[in-house]
Amino acid sequence: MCKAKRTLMSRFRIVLIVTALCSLWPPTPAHPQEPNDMEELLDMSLEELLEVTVVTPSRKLQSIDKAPANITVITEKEIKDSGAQTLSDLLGRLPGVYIPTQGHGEDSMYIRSVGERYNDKTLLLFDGYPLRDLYYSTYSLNETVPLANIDHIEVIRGPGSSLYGTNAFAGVINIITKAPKDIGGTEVLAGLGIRGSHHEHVLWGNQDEKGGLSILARYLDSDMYSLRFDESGDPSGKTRYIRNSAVHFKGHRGNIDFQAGFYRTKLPDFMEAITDVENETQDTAFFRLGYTKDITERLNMRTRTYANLHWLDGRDLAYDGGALDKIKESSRESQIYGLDTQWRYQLAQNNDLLFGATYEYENLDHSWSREFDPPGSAPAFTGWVSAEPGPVPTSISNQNLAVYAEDEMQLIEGVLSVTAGARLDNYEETGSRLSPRVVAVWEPIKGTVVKGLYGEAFRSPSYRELYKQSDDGENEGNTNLDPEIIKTTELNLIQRLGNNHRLEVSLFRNETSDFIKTLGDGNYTNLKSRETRGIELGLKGQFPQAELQYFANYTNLDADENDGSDVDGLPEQMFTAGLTYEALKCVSISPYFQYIGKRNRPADYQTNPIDDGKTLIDLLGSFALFNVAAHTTKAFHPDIELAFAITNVFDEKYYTVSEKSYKFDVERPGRSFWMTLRYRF
Amino acid sequence: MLPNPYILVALSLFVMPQAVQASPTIAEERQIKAALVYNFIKFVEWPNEESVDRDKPITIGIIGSEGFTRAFDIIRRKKVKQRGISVQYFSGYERLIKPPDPGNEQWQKRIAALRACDVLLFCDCADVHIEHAAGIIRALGDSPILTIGETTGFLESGGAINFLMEKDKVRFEINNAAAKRAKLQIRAQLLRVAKRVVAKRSSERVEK
Repeated sequence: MCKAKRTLMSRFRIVLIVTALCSLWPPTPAHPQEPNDMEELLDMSLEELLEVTVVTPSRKLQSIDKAPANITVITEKEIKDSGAQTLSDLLGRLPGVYIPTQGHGEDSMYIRSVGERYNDKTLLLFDGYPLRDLYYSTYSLNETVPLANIDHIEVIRGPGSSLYGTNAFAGVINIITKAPKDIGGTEVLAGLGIRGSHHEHVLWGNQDEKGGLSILARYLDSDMYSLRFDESGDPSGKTRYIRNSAVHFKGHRGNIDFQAGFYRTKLPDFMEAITDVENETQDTAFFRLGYTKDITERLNMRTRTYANLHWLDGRDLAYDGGALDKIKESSRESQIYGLDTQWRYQLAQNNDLLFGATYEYENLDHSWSREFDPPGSAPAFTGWVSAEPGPVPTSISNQNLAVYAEDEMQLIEGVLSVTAGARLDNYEETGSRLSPRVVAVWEPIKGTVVKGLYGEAFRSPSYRELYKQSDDGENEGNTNLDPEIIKTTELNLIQRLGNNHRLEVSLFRNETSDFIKTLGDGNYTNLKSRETRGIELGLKGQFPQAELQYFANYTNLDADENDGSDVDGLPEQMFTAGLTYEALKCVSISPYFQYIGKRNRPADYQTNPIDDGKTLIDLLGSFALFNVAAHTTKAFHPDIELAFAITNVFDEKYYTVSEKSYKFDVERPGRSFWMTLRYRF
Repeated sequence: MLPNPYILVALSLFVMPQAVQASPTIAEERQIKAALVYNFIKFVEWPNEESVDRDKPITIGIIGSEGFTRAFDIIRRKKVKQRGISVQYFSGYERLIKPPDPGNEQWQKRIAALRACDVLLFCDCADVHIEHAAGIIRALGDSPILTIGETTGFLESGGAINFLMEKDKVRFEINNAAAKRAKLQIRAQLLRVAKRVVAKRSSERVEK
């Protein structure tokens, strides 16, 4: 180990020791069974009480500390303070989360070492509704999700299938967009980044006695964050442009809430230069209608219906000896129609029962339609030379039904609770799967919470893994696939340090089995299993008198494949830390630090064109990044907000390990800038 | 070798904290209402209040729901106007509905028990009809009791303060005439933040 790395490790040992000392901090003395919120409410003035937002018992609010899961909430303020431009930037700050960029240009989310290039092992919910396409079972973490319209993000690390079903495998991300009442007017935003990246939006929202409505219209043109390489690793082809247009409606009237959205993402890529046609267009439309009713004081019902529609029109590039050999055009249409009804019944004062059922109808129309064989690596495009139908014009439909129930019982009021539940999913293609979960939450003394969690989750194979057929016989779909399974055991300690600081320690072990092999020869099969043990430390808090907020997270992972080898591409150690300092009541400055440890390269990963073809060792080195964000509120004008962000301030050259098919490291952006102007009226 | 600022940033996160109470910005509706009831007592003067024995607690009676239990369990440990707080629960309205025989002894006893309260909170629960509340308030007559409700039409039924919801915030309205009838003096600070104040017994109202 080189001297620099030894120095870095010794520094992290210091950080760990300090963190451990913090955990010995005595808890706040208080009556053992008092809900702290009520005490605080009684200290508030009349005027302050009238400004407190009501959470109805039917939307039962639990403090994060005592929730029967490992939950992290990223607030609107934290999003704004972070200066982040993408979901990846935000989520990568959390303990246990690692988000590398893959060779094809997309970011992939790994929670506690569990993830995959297609992002299908974490469930993404948009205002509580699932948002995924059928083909990849995936979602995008890049610029297509507008952060400026997010109220908060809830992240559950650990299995969630007992309530949410498939894909809630390694975790669940629920993005809650702003409610009309929170907008209360019109907002115009314009952002500008390096190399001509820009985004703009107009957001309007209003609410009166009868209901509320908000409308977001947004355009983004970015070449900043999603670097893309061609398959030979040629840096000249590394920039991946994204153009995204979005319209989003959200509203409610009485007990009814509704949403509609349309997102169009274009990925022009270097195809555009060759063929004068866009590389890929992805359209997403969703419609949601929900009805919530308090039937009695103890019984609450929520029923929702939704439609998720995805269209893709794209081209795949095939290479031979580094030269562009073939272009295949494909199109597909994915439709999911769902009906979900969820009931909450208070069986007794200390016993809440949640139960429900979900029905989904899925349909995928998919066809490889035509190929183009260019005569050279950069040919003049003269039209599609082959208009023959591809090998798989397919239309596939499935129906899935699930029932679930979960009971939360306070065994000792305010001190000890047990939550147990299970969900039974029946998939037309892959059969039934039961996902149980049990959590005990114990608060022995005020400010100290201990949770024990056990849960199982599954991921039903994507349509790509089930049905894909290709002309070269590789990566063929397999309808005999079983769902992937994960079993997680976790011990979670939360220690409040005074009123303003919170320490969280999680020890976990997860066993995944039947991992579906996604690349290589032949059919997709259930091949891999993996075991991960890890520890996550999170410290978060504020110094109100100094106008200072901070967080620091450390993760140590030990992940092994079933053959005893380490997992490729993932770090064993990660550390993130950030501060926000509010100066002069109108300026916030937020430095952010991230350290990612060394990562394994795959065995057949021997050369790297970016690195002059040098033979590489089997480890990719660690990196440390430093970002700074700042924003002003009312500094120049009461309605104007100005924000700046500099990422990778020291212009560190750093890489992520790409998946096997690319066989080279993916260079990440150097120093970058963003500036955003927001005007509200 | 990493530049020094990195490690400084990392270590600066662990400076010792200074404890300052943070205020919640969200809470359950009944928690907020309970906290407001606690505040109302500070801004209402009962007749002969100064001469009351400080050892005698202020009694809050809650009619019709157990939903407030948890919130008031905290309040009963508090003091207001240098007096302790006692909380009494009265079971559902069905037992307080005026029977056909007004001289019914059981009912008279129940009304007498209510008269021993300084504050009466009429919960909005499944078995309540506004005429039930009106019947109880009429039976209480001019007893010095601060009557608080959470039902549309409560002020018109003779109640003094009524909670209402505006979007997702709790608001309240005051029938000052009803308060005066009960010989209660509501201070200007409370009247000022009320959503609506009914100043006279007739339909003549002061709208805010």
